[in-house]
Amino acid sequence: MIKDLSIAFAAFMTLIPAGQSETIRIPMKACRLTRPARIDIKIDKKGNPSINQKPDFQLVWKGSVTVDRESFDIYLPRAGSYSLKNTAKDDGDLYNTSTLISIDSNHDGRLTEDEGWFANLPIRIGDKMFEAVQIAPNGNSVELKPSAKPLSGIVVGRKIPPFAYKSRDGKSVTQDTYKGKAVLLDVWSVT
Amino acid sequence: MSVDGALGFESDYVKNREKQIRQQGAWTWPNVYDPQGFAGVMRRLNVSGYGLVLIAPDGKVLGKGIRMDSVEPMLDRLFTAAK
Repeated sequence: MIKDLSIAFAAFMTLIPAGQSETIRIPMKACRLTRPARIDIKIDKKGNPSINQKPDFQLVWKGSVTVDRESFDIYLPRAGSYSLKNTAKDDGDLYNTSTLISIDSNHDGRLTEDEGWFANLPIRIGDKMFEAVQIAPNGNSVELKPSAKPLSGIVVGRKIPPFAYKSRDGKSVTQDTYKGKAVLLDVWSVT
Repeated sequence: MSVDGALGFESDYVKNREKQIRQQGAWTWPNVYDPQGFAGVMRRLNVSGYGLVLIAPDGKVLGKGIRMDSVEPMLDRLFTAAK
């Protein structure tokens, strides 16, 4: 009976509506899935980049969280340890060492390389933001709490989050600048 | 539009490189800068520097991490649906 109560409690905890300040504890179960790894770039001594597609990596823990009455599957990769901290100087995806949490945003049962969120950064689930509070050392639970940070993160199937940038000639570009027009957004670097 | 993740966007090197490329006539869209470079782009947009993002006229994201060879079919579908 105690086991049944703890399972029921765990299931209840995942149904707490987002927007409340309570931490959401998500029990994770063992699973086997793969997802594409992000691209790895190495720079040689002459400054020449080489771009490598790393092999798919395994997702071994799966849980579920409900946000705004919509259920999302979340996954953890196979790892020797899990971390909420990024020890690199840069939060960019090439260097970030915190755990990459995968969220099946479009509920298609597949994880694509754009459905990952670093544990040290705000995590978008649906149209709400969360912060990772804890990942159990063995991966069998994840704790999130609603974040007060503004909506961020581009998610396929969802509206683009608010953003504001400036061009070199001082023009402001926001998510409303091209309202009514299709936009192709390219993130790159001149350097 | 493009979002340049280069740090130090006020540097002369970056200014000159953009100017050179625009003078070649191949760059006609706005290029904006994230003051925190790719790290800032990751925080604000959760987008890596590879692949494109396609946004529909209503602001809905249709694709992310789109490779160049997949762009045209997606645009065809978008504009066909709009007719």
